[in-house]
Amino acid sequence: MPVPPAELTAEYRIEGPDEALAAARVVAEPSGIAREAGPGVTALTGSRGQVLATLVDVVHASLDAGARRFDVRIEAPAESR
Amino acid sequence: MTVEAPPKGGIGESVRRPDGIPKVKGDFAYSSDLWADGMLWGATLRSPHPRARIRELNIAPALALPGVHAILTHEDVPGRKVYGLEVADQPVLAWDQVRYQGEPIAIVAADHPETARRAAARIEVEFEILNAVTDPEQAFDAEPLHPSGNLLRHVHIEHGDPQATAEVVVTGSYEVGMQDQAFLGPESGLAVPAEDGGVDLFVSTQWLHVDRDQVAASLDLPPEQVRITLGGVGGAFGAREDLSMQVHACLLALHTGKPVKMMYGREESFFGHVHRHPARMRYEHGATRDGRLVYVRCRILLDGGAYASSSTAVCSNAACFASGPYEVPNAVIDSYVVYTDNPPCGAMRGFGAVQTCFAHEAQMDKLAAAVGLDPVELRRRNAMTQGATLPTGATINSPAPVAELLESVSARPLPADGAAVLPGGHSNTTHGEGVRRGVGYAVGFKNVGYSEGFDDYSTARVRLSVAGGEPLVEVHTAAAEVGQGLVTVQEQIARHELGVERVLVLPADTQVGSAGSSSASRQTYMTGGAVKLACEAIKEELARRGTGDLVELVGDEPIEVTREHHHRRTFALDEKGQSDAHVTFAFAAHRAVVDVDTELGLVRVVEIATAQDVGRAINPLAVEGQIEGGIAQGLGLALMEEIQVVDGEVRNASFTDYLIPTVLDMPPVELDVLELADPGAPYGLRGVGEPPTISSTPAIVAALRAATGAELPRVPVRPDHIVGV
Repeated sequence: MPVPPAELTAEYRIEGPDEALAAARVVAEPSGIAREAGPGVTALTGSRGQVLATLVDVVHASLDAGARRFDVRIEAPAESR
Repeated sequence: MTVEAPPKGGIGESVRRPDGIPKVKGDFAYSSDLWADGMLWGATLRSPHPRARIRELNIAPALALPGVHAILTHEDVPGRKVYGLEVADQPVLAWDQVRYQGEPIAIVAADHPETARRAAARIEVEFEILNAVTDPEQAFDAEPLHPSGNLLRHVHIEHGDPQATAEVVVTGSYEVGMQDQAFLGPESGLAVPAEDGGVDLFVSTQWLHVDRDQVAASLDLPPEQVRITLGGVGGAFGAREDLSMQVHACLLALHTGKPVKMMYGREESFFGHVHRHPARMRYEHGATRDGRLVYVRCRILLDGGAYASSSTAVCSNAACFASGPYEVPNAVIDSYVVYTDNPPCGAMRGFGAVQTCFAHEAQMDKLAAAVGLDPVELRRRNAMTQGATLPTGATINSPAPVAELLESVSARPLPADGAAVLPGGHSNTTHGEGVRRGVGYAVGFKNVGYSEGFDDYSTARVRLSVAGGEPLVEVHTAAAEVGQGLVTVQEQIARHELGVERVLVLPADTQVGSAGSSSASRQTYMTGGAVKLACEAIKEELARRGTGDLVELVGDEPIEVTREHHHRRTFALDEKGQSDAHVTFAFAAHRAVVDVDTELGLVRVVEIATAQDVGRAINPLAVEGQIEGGIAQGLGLALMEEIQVVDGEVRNASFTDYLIPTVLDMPPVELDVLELADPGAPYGLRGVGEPPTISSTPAIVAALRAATGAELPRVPVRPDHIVGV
């Protein structure tokens, strides 16, 4: 692994109508940093700027489309990485 | 304290490794030999399909089997359900769909390995088979396999004038097949549940701390509750950088409350680790009529398979070393790696530089022919030297002896005609009719250590005490001895620095700081550097204590020091691929002599001559071993080693069908080791492990071309390529 791991990972899960999940996908997928991280869980992995900017856009899009709850967990890589 | 007369076994001596004779005699304890009373055996249910949706999963028939203690699925992963070295995108256990043949779906613990295997086979899975994306070229426009699409990374390097023109232009398309690391000890380990709710894992791996962090995240445990100790490793070559059974064994152990051993068989091992990226490369070289390079343009496409592993770094390395160790005033290089439903690919010895070296060296031979120059002379005219500027804009600040290495291999006398063994070996398939000899050359280089801004470091804890009236040095690191001789190197450095003959290297574990991975030709440089720093700190403490006999200075107050060795800072590539991205480089040249039966397409490599700059040979015998082993792996890629993947399915997951060189395939190796010190490195050393693999392959294929006149744009070269059928 001769390059640094991603600076930040944000995993999120959205509760709400299908429209809210679809709206989040429309924003997250073109970002180039979205991956599945579990059933119903999406991870954004990249630089701090990329991750946080995309995350804010995803939150806005999903809330606008009727999301009721947005759980997010943000992790920086461990020291040993 | 000064070391007046270093004891025997210091640096520069060919100290014999402690694991050598036990391995040859079959006495060495590999991780597959681990045992605990009352332990259970783990087994894995894997996908038979390269791409499918999981509709139903029924574990009841398997649970009903007597002797089965647990069957776990993704629902039983308490923490992060994905893992990965650079990007966490690979499921610990698949939940909705599978993206490659062999992807783990469920795990079983039973009181006997056969019971576990049968239980796994009883798990009922209803798949909806999906169209697999298996052509990397089509992956760009295919249905996305991951939310953000199939392009994993694109590295663009632009250097000088991108529109440069030249008097002589040669082009070519090249392909490298999927090589396996083919280590001899399959993935294995033993997980033991601990009283504190954590787990102790004994396992074959290359990087204990990154394993620990990933395992802890998936178990939802703090890292300190996952303690990893290195088991006996039967080879690695990059294939143990990613997790295999680590999380699975720990999950089963914590779930059952019993030790759980997992051990893949040979077939499962082919599905249990990443492989070398297959590559398709298109090159254009422009030069003056007298053979001076004007430009290199190339497009590299790497098949990353289903998950990221270390693909983004391999993509970068392929780009950075795409033009070879030559002065190239202008370059445009585009390197892509894509997701497909093929087996995941990641780290393997040479790490991106192997693929591009095969292509750029074929191009140099084409160019030599086009301008009417000897291939060695063409390379010599363009050889990189210290102070050269790479296509990334970085300057080479240490010796770059490309011309010297070429001179060394080309000046050696050629072996006599009429080899004792003809192509086809002892099968006696020819009496010499139709056999032609060819000679080929290649030179390559690669980075040592981690690049692109990684804070690469290793930690060493060294303790000097008196035991039994004699001084004793104990060295503790987390550096993985994977067969490269690192334990011996640590002993040698401690002896050299402290003048103490009795040195004990403790088992590698996570009770000391990270050592980084045993990869990127970096461990002697990084962990050797950390041991050196710790020993130097001990010497400073001894100096504070006064002068005199070492035993009296230490007395009953042992000195223990922990030090980290960091290499100098590197930087990320910018949008035009420019930066000082690599800390240092290692170079090698090869000359291959082959005999080819042009009627049957059979090949015998008669001799390999090689020259390599190692900076400083800490252990000359180990250097020789690394070089010969690396050449064997390069020979394998040239002539026989390829995982056959058809529509995403592996067709040769065995050592009966996946061929690796044996002692009968290996020719004599004529070796010249240069020791041109890298001023930024401990003792001036460079990495040794990877360069032998990089340029041996293209040298052999160049020799085949010289013997046959065939174009041979793909490795491994098969008999039908040579015969032209």
